[in-house]
Order: sequence, then C-alpha cells, then structure tokens
Amino acid sequence: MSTELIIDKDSFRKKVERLTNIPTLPNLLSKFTEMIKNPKTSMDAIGKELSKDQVLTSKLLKLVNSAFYGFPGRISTVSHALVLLGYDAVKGLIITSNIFENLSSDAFPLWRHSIASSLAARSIANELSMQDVEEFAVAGLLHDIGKVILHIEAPEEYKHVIEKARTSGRTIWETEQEMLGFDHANIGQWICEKWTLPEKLIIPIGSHHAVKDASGFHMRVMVTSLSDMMIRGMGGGAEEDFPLEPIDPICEEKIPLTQDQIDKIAENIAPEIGALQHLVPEDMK
Amino acid sequence: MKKCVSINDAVEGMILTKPVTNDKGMVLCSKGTSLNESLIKRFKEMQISVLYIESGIEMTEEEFIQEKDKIKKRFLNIKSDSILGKLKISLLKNLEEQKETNKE
Ligand SMILES: [Fe+2]
Ligand SMILES: [Fe+2]
Repeated sequence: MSTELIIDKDSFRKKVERLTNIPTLPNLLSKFTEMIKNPKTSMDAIGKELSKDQVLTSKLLKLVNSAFYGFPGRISTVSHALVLLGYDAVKGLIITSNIFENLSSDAFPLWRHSIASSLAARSIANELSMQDVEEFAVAGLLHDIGKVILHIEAPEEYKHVIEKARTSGRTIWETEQEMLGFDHANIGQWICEKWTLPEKLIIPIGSHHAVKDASGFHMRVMVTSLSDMMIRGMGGGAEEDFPLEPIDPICEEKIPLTQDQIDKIAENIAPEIGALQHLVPEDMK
Repeated sequence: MKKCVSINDAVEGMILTKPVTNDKGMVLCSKGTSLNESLIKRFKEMQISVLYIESGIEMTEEEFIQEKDKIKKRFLNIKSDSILGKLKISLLKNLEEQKETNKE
C-alpha cells in the first residue's frame, strides 16, 4: 500500500524542535535543569530562581491551584510546589501552562481531555498505591501534547486525518501513522526530548498508544494509556464519537483494578469532567 | 439530578448528594444536608474545592436513554470482563443512580 504522506516527517520534526511560540521556556527550562543536576542546590534556591519570572510563577501557581488540578488554593509559592510535586512534575507543569495558551477554540476539547486525563491518572495511581503520583498526573496532562502541536502547526492536515479516521472507523493514531508516517505520540516524544524532560515522562507520553513497545517505565505507560481511555469512555475524548479500542491485554494483567476500585475512580472524576465541559483555558488564568 | 459545583458557586439551600470528607476521608457533613452560609464558609476554610449537590433538574426518560446509548456506543468494541468493561458498568450504574435521585 503506497498512500502519499501528507506531511514530511523529517521537516515536521525539525519544525517541532524549533517551536518558538513558547517564548520564555527554553532558557528557563535549561537553567532549571542545570540547577536540579547540582545536588547542592536547595529546593528553596530553585524556587526563588523560578519565582524571578513573574509570568511563569503566576501561571504555574494558577494551574496547580485551580480546582481542576488537585490542589485548589493550597500551593502558594514555587518552592512549595517543588516540595509537594517534585521537580519533574513542576517542569511538566511549566511546559503545560505555556503550551496550552496557544490553543484556538477548536482545540478546547483537547485541553479538557488533557486536564481530565491528568485527574484520572492521579486517581488511578493513588488507587494502585504508586509513588510519585504527581508525575503520573503530569504524564496524563501531557500525553496528547503531540495533538496540541498538530493543531497549532498543521491544522488543515490534521483535520483531514480526523475526518479520515472518522470515515474509516480506524483509530486516530493509526490514521496519523497512515497519512503522516508518524503519530501524535511520536511528536510528544520529540518535543519532550527537546524540552529535556526525564524519561519517566517521555516514555509514557511517547508510548501511550503502543504500550507493549515501551522501553521502560511500564507501569507509568500503562496508567497513562488507561487514564486516556477511561476519560474517552466517560465522554471526555478530544474528538467525539470515536468508539474505544480494547486496551492492550498487558494492562488487564498488570493493572488488576476491581469493580469497586473502578467505581471509586469513576465516581471521583465524573463530576469534574462534567464541570470541565463548560470551561475554557481562560478560566484557569 | 446530581451535579458538581465549585465551592465558589455554592449557595445556601443546595442539598448535598455526596458526603463532604476531609483529606483523610473523614465525613465532615453527610449526604442530604442543606447548605447554609456558615457551612460554606467552613468548607472554604478547610479548602474543600467541589461539592456534589442536587441540581433540581429532572432527567427525562428521553435524556436517560440518550445518555445510555452514548455510553453503549463508546464501549461497542469493549468486552465486559475487561478493565474498560468494568468502567462501562460503573458509568451505567452511575447514570441509573443520577436518575434515581430525581424520584426521592
Ligand atoms: Fe493520544
Ligand atoms: Fe488522549
């Protein structure tokens, strides 16, 4: 089968890696990464350094304190966020709060889907008594970052992909593979590598539609995939009317959640999903 | 019908459809309680962010069937004995419950 690809992979990847519509980010992130590498740097010092960027500080604090991010009104300083959430989660959140600003209204469902998936990931990780629950939440938040980038950088082509998926009955990521030669999970991986996020975030984001192929952090990959699917099952998908595909059998085996546990998770997140339907990114500011 | 509201949108007279609990799962206020100003203030102080309340809006039979169809459609390819199958069961149970709240 030789279908013509509608985007050139290599040049798109380069484009993604050059993305400049996230102005203060690269500089600050590399500084942040450097500081973390030095074991002598205290959380407090890092917090203070980050706080120098007023815009970033207020965005970060607004995101974590919004009713939809799990710490409503509880985190008052960047240092506090670092202590509660950990470096890697904070780094992911800084990225999130920046990238989601550039969305046009047709991508709002994607924003809602991301927040909801983050809630689901946290809830599932809690139920499974995982450590570093906040990192699971951030992986959920960023899992479809590749879709965000497609929306911003290739909106017309991406519309074709979604239409094609809808008419063919295939999944969106398979259709991306067919029409683009890569999928939004690949893009997520490229950009997260560029942002020097740790592998425990890169791999779940890059493998959330190919759980079996993940090169590590399998539990995180499975939870990210499951949280995405649960949210879609609950009507919080970024695109409506796409039936769920069965989850990878390995997840059934490794995530033995009981009916009671699933009930609890669903009960926890259902009202938030409902309330999210009426929100737009502006509401988080 | 059950509804979730932000604590900032809570007003006197709303009826809780789910108990309010603290971080440790301890019940602070039971289901069926009617909210008043002092309760709302206390919840805010305790950093409770969302409340589950009776919306007062009835779910019609038609809406119920529509919702049910949507769920069934989404789970068309999902076997009932899988994790996602369990989620489907949860969602249908919840939907029934929401409808039940009407009759009380
Ligand atoms: Fe995805
Ligand atoms: Fe997703």
